Amino acid sequence: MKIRSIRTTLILSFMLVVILSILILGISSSLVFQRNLLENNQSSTLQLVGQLNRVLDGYIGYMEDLVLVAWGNSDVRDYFENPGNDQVLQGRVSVFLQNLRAVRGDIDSVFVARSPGEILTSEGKVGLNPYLDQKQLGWYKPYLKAGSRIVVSSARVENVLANRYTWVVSLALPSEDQKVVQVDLNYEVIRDLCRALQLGRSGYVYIVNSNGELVYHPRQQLVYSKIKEEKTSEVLAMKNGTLTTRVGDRTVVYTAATSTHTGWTVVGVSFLDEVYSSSNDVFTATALIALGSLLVAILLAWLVSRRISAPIEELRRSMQKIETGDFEIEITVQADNELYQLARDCNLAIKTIRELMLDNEREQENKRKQDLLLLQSQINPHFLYNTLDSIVWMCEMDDGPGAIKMTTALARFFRLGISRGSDILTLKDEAGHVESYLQIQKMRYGSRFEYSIAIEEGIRDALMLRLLLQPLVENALYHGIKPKDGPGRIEVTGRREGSNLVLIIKDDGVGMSGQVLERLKSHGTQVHIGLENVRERIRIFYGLEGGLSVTSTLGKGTEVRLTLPFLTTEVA
Amino acid sequence: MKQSTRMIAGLAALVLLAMTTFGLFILPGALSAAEGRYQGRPKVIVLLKENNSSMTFWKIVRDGAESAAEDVNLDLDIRGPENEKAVDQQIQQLSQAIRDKPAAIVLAAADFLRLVPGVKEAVRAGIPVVTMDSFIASDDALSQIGTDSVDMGASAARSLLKFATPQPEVAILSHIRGSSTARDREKGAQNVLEGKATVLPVVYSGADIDTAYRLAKEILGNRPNLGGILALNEPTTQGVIRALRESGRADTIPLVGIDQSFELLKALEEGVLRSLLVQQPFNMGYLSVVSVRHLLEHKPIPRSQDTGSIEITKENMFLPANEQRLFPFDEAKPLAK
Repeated sequence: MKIRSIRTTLILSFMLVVILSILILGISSSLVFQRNLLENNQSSTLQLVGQLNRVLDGYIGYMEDLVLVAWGNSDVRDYFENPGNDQVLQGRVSVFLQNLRAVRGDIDSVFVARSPGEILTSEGKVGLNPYLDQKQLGWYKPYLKAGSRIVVSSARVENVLANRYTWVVSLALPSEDQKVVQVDLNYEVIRDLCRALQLGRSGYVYIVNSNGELVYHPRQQLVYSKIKEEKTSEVLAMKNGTLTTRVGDRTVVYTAATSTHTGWTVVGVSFLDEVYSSSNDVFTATALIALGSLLVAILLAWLVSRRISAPIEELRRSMQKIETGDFEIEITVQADNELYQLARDCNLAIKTIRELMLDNEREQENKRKQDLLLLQSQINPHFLYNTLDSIVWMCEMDDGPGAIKMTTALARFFRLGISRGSDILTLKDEAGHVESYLQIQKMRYGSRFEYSIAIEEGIRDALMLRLLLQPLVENALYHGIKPKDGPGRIEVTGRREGSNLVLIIKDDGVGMSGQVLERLKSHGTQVHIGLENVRERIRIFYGLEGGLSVTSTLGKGTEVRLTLPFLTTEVA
Repeated sequence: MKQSTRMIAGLAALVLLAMTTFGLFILPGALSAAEGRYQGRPKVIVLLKENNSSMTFWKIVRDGAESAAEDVNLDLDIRGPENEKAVDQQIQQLSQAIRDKPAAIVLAAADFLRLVPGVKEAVRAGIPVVTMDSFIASDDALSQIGTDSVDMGASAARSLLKFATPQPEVAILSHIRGSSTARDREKGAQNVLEGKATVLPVVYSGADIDTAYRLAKEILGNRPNLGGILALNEPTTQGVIRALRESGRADTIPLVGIDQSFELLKALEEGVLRSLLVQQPFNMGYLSVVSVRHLLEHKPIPRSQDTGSIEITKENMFLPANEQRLFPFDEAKPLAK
């Protein structure tokens, strides 16, 4: 496994958190910003377009009033109704028309026509166009609709006057017998109103009438030449509102307001990329803030990690020393957090280990001493001399089988007793060892004592610490039976009691007084060195106290009871 | 140690604050300023055949070019000699334009051959050139934007045949002998008239009204059976109109002209002139500048773009689409801001 330092992990996770949060924040705020931009743009464009529409309605309405005024004028009515060639009347009408035109600067001309050939204009001195086509005069005919009396043209060139072509928007009120009052509104008025409205860098406003003809478009020629495309039919279908659509390679937002009065639709055209252009600034700003935050986050991560990883580094160095066996060190960590506690706990642990190691050393020492004592007791020279003496005596007595039996028992006794290696052996071998010992002693002491070894069936393969029985049997023989007058008996029994192996060495020797017994229990005497050795070895090997208990009645005998954990090969 | 940590933390907070301030308030302004500089409108020099604004045709071309410049965000510098015949002056102006290092040049060549070296020099200097209206005898110009003159001559001839009796005797009055437009318009007309009319030898007015008048008067005098006249440019048409009006034979001799002016439109209304083939100078100017923008953005542009010609008669001259062509108002007038 690759090890990554805490510092790196911290810095990386700090960075991740910062980048993620800034990204989410940035993107969401950009989106919200963009949406707001679009909504604001749409509502303000709608407002502007609606405003322009109302202004135009006002204009046209005013001009319509002028048309009605002209129709209502008594001289004009006279002119219409009397077909004669009354020069005075015609002069009065001309003056009236001239005055009417003078009312406002944005009126190009006013004229009345009695028939296609009989026209009076506000431009007194300027003659009529001699080549005027009658069809031209009836321009309004396609616009005539039931209900509305006054007809409003789209942008058109007026050619009624000689040598004059002017762009106008005409308002005409024709009668059924082709009498007409017409006011021509200077087209520049409408053009300038539309041009004044700028939507974004290259957005604009155009006007279309209900027939789909352009009243004003800043690139009228291009539209007619189909170089420029406008989605006019879609816009007209919508009448009022906003339409976002693709035209060419740009996304266009059309905003339309239609006048019920003139039937004109004022269309605002803005380009989505221009609406969004300021959101790019926000995005860049967000990116820069993100970069700054990232730098700060790295700095903070570095600082925090230093506070954490420096003590950890200190701990690690101390631990490495401990690994090499140096338990004498004291960890000093400069921190005011959990790491200080951790260091303190480590120091405690080291101290405990140190004590345990000392304990262990002491124990080992003790074990060696006990093993040595045991060994000494096993190769007790007196026992060996006595036994060898007995064998020699038997040989002299020609007791061949006895000598063989005793020698065999001695050999078995030593083989099991002073075998090197394992500390544990089976109960069967331990019992065999004791039996060899008792056989030898029985041959020497003859009828002085009897013995029996009874091991419960099925537990002979149980394991136990070696040489626990013999020292106890030896005690029973020397301190229980020998001082007694008359024959004695030693019984060794072994059985299982639950999870324990219970071994009992019982003699019917002299026994001990309670006082002696107390002394024996409290601390070993020189005399009972075997008992003490057994007790100590049980403690070291099994780790338990009280595995050995002695009960004794003076004059009746002694019983030593070993209670050991029941071990078998499977467990061991 | 603790103190220094606190100090560093404080410093970090300060840095963060500064960054935020910078990002929120200073940067957007700085950026849009930089954007303005960076996206600054590239300068394009438009070199016309003449630039004294007297001729309606060139006025409309300028208007179209300026409209396009506004739409595609370019800076225009419109130049040109005093009149169409000042070829030397235009050659000089082209070298000056190259020295001024514009992003591109739009050229209406005053001469088919003599502007070629100048255009080659511009291309060597890394300045792309597109030609408009009148082209040059070289492939160095990346696009030709203008009226297909052969097509226009053919349309004029077809229009004339509509008004004339079958197999008429037709006079063609051209303008400048050897000029590319005269050659191409004649060619187009001859192609159409061949076999359908008797065509008199072409005469040249030198683009002069009086010369055209004299020539027309002469032909009218010599040719009692004349069944139609084709006049191949504006001054020539004007001269012929005068002669025809005087002769009083406008009813029997249909006249078809080319290009537009106030006088020609009056004559159209009057009936002396039966039809007029007009170019679309606005579109020509507009498309040239848009093409330059495409060039600068490395978008492909067609080698040749025909802006087309339109037949105008008394009947259709006041249709909305044609009104705008014939009586243009100044579309590129700066918008009120």
